[in-house]
Amino acid sequence: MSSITIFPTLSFPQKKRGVDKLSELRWDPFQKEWIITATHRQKRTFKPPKDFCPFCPEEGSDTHKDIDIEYDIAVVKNRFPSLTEYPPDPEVESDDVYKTRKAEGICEVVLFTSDHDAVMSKEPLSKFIKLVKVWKDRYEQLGKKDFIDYVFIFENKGEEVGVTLNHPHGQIYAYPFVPPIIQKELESSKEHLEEHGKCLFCKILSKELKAEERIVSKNDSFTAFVPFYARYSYEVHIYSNAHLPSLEHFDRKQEEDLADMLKDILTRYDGLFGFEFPYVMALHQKPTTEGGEGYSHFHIEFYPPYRTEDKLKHLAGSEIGAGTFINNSLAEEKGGTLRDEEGNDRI
Amino acid sequence: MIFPYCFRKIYFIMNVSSFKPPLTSGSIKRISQRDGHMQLEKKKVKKNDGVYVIYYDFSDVEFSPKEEGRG
Repeated sequence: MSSITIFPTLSFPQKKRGVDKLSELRWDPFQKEWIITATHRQKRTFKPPKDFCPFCPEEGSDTHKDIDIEYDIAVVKNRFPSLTEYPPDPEVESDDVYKTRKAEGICEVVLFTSDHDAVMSKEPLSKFIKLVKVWKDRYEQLGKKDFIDYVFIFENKGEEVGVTLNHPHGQIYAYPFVPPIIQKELESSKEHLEEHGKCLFCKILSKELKAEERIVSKNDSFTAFVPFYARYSYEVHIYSNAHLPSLEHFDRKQEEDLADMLKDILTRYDGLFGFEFPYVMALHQKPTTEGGEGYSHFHIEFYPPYRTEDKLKHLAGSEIGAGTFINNSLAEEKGGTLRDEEGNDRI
Repeated sequence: MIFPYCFRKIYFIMNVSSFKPPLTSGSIKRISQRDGHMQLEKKKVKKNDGVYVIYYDFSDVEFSPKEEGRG
């Protein structure tokens, strides 16, 4: 794989004064969702060599480094945030169709290890337990802020999904609204609860456990499966077995079991084709606003772009233009493939 | 079980003694939080340009030898 090493920044000519730091939310009246306009992100660090990695510790470092000491896990405020705690007013005034609002929120980077070359599936289970604890802490701390409605924890892994820094890390976006995919998911679960008296996630979990064929892995507190309606060949969802709305509701055993399940899935992924498997990982849980405990159900979704050992799934006409995914494989078949892979050596 | 725990303690002390705040650091804040049976400690370092770093310290958290082994 070729690596482009342009550092520190890529800059693009700007036509208008002020445009290089424009940051605001613009409303799409058709899709009824907010779009973040953050032009300053064009200048973010792009695939730096290891010596210039801002997340590798270097004592008494200069401005390109965020980290000065060795660490176990650290959280850094994003230097190129899409959302900020004290955003400027929008440059464009709202009207009845073109609505704008301040790009208010918080963006953080979670550094999994100070070792730039670490492979997460090879890290000890204790690393994953620590990571779950850090996620829980950030969910609670960011969720306490009155302008935050949703704390979204995620990881983009691999250049195939657009990663610009190879140091093992994830991200957190604390939004001032509930993002549309999560909003739709929660509305469906709420509707199911009102009609059938059961959260939709709990219902799906019971169906998957009964069917068995799409199950990838299980432990006392979590079940991983390729969903019936998978969009990607190796898509995996991890559901908490109990109805737990968010990380805040986890006890110590559940934290450890989630860590075990994460390591298990990563081990299966990396064993699949013999290379570090790229993916987008998204944690879905309760918004940090009041209510929603009955229909919010903690789960993690993995979206790996590979559909075969050497072919990527690209989002194209049907997916981008019409919003309808085409999956080239069967969830039942891929569930079996991942189940047969060697997972975590369970304790 | 006892040896790795002591080792972690020594490592932690060495780490803390060698800790030097960055040249641009503004304030350092140490935060403790009850986390079930254990203390989860955080050290927040704020730089002058507004970027903060939170270092999580797990030196007081007990892990079994298996949890600490590489899989």
